[in-house]
Amino acid sequence: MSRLIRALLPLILVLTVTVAGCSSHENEPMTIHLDITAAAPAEPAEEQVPLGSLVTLEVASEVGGLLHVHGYEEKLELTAGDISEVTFKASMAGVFEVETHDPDAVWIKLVVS
Amino acid sequence: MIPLHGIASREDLPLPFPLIVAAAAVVLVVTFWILLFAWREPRYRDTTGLPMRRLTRFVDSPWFSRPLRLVVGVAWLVAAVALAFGPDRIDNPVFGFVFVWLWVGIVPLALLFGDVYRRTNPIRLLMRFVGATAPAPTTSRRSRLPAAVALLAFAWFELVEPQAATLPVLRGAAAAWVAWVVVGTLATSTKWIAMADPFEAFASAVAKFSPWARSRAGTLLLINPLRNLASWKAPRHLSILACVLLGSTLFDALGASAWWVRTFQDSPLPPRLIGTLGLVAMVALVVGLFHLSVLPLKGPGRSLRQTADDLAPGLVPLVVGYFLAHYATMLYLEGQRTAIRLSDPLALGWDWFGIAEGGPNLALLALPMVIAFGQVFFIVGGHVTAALVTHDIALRGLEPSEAVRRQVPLLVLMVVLTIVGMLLMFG
Repeated sequence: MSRLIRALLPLILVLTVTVAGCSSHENEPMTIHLDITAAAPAEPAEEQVPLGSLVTLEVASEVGGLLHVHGYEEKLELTAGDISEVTFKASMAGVFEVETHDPDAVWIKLVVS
Repeated sequence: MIPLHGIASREDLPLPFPLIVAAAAVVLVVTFWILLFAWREPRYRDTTGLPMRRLTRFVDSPWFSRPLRLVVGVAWLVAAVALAFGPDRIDNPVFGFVFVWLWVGIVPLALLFGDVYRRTNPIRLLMRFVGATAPAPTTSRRSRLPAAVALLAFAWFELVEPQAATLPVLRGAAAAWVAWVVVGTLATSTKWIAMADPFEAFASAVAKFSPWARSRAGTLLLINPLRNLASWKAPRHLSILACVLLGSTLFDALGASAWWVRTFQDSPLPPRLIGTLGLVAMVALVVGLFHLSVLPLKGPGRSLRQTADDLAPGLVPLVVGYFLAHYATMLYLEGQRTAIRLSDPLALGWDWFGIAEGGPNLALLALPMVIAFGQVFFIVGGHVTAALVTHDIALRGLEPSEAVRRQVPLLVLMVVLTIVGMLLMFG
């Protein structure tokens, strides 16, 4: 067993260094603007967000309803003809969908990396 | 209104392409190294390991098994109450209970602790009055075809049925599952449970890849997982069961790929039909290719079905590796959320475990490199162990040089499945 651990040691070291190098950055706050219309988009817009940044979603909507950021479980009440905002820290890596249910549509694919 | 949507709320980032290339290279080199330079005599014919007599006595005593069954039974009861009386929203814990705790959790549970599911199977607890909980030290060798059919039905329900995350539909599926196992057991015998319960059959197969086995006398053995799996006298139709699992996980990745979505989103055919055809075709393809590639290993007097079943344990690590690579982060995030929701099963504002305030721990999800390396580790590790187990089984009853030549098609198939699986995770 100890031989196995010694054999794996370089791999573990490399992994630790890589991980440490990747996870220690502070990012500028960013704002993503989204226009919601009565018709669903053909394809969701892809938005790249650096891990750990403060994201403000600024939504101008033609319709009322609820906007939902999957995974982060953030919800935003929309009023027709008005602008609403939600701010959250993008602390999880992954791909997250931003969607409404009326119309039933995915508006943004949020790629946090 | 709180929106209703599937249980998977996030996807992992696509794997970095250089990492996939490196992993694919490792897979190729290691596979053919095993084929050409690993042992030439079967090593893992017998289920031998370190006997753990005191542990066996403890685990088999009522002091251990009763509280364990009680806790598991209560958890199922809470889920059943939420299914019957909870709100029809995604924050009803029953969805996470079924699609995360049960379906995904089964794999690490069986991998770490062996055949726990069989001892705590809720249907066995339910059917205690016909002796369904009587401990049997070894799993039966009866056909797993009914369980394979039920697993295909569950995969269809999870991956194809668009309304799977709504209460009325889940109630119907749960009722069908209970009826399938209970009615079959009453009509035949308690042996039906091992043959037909999809979750027990799945868990028992993965448990053979754990470091725990039972000797013929029933003593717990601490065992090399490779030996545990390779020495398994596989039940009939294990090959079908394993191919259903492998085919449906591949279909899950294919169905989420950009290519699939682009090809079928504007199709005039109804989505249920497309999904059904895709799933069935994928499973049929895996079944067909597997049987074709074990053909050269068919010994005299063995049917193709027997040969495929003999070699089917080699598919289990592929399934496990792929499952963990694909669903581990979902188990981590949604598993915690399910625990939080279970502490308020009827959405009445309860917090039984006092964990609602803190929310889920997200530390792992802030480390995308760890996740990516973990995923590749699971896939490559699953593939390498699968190749080793297959190699060991294939050597039995054949001349070494002959055996090497005849297992080439099977190893090539495994390499292809692994690399396709990884490419699907690339997006």
